[in-house]
Amino acid sequence: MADVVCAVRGGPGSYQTRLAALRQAADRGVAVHFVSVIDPLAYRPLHAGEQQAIRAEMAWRDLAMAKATAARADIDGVRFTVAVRVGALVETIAGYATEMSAGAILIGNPRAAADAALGSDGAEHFANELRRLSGVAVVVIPTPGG
Amino acid sequence: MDLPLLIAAEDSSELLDSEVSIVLLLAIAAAVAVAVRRIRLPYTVALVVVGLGLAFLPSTFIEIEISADLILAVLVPPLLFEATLHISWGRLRRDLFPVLLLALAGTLIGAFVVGGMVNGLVDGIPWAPAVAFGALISATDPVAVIAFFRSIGVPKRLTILVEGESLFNDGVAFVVFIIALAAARPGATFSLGEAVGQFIIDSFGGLAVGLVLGYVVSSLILKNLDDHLIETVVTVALAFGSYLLAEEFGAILGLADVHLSGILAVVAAGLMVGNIGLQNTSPTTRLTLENFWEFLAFVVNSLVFLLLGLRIEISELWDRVDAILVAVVAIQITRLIVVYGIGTLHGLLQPERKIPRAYQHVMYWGGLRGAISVALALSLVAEASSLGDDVVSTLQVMTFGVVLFTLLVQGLTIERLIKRLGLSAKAEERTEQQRRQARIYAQQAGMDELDRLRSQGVLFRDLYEAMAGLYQSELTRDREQLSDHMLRHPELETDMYLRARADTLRAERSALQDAARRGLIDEEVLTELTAEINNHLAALEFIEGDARQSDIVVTEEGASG
Repeated sequence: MADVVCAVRGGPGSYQTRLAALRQAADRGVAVHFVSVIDPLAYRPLHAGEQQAIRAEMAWRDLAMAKATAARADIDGVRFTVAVRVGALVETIAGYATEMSAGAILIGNPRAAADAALGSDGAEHFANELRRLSGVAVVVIPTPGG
Repeated sequence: MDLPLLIAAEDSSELLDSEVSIVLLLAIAAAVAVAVRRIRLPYTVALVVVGLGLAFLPSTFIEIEISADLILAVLVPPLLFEATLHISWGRLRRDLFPVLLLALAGTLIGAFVVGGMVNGLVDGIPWAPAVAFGALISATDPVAVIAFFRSIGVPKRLTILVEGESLFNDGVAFVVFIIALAAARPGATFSLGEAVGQFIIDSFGGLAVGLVLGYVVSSLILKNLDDHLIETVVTVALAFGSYLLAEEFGAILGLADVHLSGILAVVAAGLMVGNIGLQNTSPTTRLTLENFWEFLAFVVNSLVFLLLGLRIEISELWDRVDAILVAVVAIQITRLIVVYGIGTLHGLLQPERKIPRAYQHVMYWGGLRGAISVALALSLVAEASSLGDDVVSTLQVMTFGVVLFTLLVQGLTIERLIKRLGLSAKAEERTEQQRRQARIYAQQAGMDELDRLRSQGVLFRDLYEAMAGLYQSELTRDREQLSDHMLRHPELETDMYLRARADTLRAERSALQDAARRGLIDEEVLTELTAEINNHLAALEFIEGDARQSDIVVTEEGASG
């Protein structure tokens, strides 16, 4: 069985996405690779010290949140890694999934309900693009209450 | 011998009169502050209303000679200095371009568009005083809005955009105000080239004075001294000193024509102290400084509004209601042009830092006018001989009318707008989280005390076990409830994490400073490691902004959670 890649951004939908990834990995007996992607346009103008600190803090946050989520849901023995990448969102997640030979990509959709109400297909379009570039199944995790 | 004694006695009597008046104003301010706690009205809004009421008092009841110097050199510096202390340079730097664009272009557009409308539509207001009015009324005052922002938890980026614009547009407005008033004096000639040159020298010169003084005070005194009283005195000297040095710079050098902006000097000095000085002081000093400046700003804010109330009569407001309406419409049109126009232009120039439309709505409606506009309007008394009493009085009435309108209409509806736009970070849920955390914290303290009593032998074992069991079951229940609450509102967990992480980093920084004071580590090591921690704190702000904006990105562009 191939590992799971989970892309979160620390927003309102992150918890449910992280939890779903850990549960899926526990069920299948595989590892989860969490990836945070930084927008290069906001990142590159910063000096090297700040860039390094941002990567370190993002990794810290992702590790702490993943451990807390696993502990709260009583999910034991799931191996997980965290990675911080800089680049265009969809291409970077797709590239990372390929690199990890992932079997599934889980992403969050905090505004799923709002998007549905507004008739927007933003999240759906994003998932399709990710599927096309990576060739991996993409699961969008809705947040309860959207 | 008799004459000096007589003069001294007269001075003493005037001083006592002024002192009595100030005591009365402070008592009124305190009463207003107490009243607003009960009626949930923003303090500045209540002050404006009470200020109007003061007009009904006999003119001898409160006697204070209002001069331009009193307003500009004594009351304005503390207001600005306090406002800058809380602004993070790390955050401001990321949005410096739109902030400066809004402050510079926005204020210039405001000065001329409002000035043009006032000149064309209000009788008897010549061009130059109209532009001076346009400048003074372009200075936005975020005090009331920021109070709402804090209570309902809007994104930090929106706060910095509003605060940053306000700080710099105060400075720009002041410079344009001074230039326009100089052009209004009898016999004055106006040259656009000279005005632009003066504007550049005023602005950059003022900023340079503030940056140099602020840096010297922050890095040489605040960093190396650990005495909260002396450090507070030093910041007071810096706030007033930077204003005076910039304003008197030309005179000191014997160049009568050179004038630098005291307001911008105070802004720059405050930014230096807030971002360098305060970061290198002990928690006690930081707390003392923050409390002191908060107090001073509170006093000054109160005095400024009440003093304006004393100058204006209700009948004047009614008589000039047409002029007030022109001014209100003019500032609304200008604010629309400035916020949406500059917002769109900035989006084209810096697409990666585009200001979301929802933010722009808040920036438009949240552009309240307050203490700085009022202070500049009060300072017009010095120009009565050149502008004429009627012009000064009309401009002051218009200022008061606009401030009243923005505070009462916009100030009281901004909270609803923010919530409608979905920019509020669910304040009720956060309060509930804090309530549950506080219960656990308190119960844990009770449990610790119980352990202490038991270990000292003043509590029987069986009684201890019974009480501890009760505490334990309450703790377990509250922990479960907190956990359920966090599961229902998982977005709170990221906030909780970021706050805790920032606290731990600050604790690390304090420990390093302590180690340096005790001689355990060298200055170079302290500087290096402190800079590293500061980078990590800035990184947390970056991450927080990234997470808070992820909703908007998803809605507008389609991205992952």
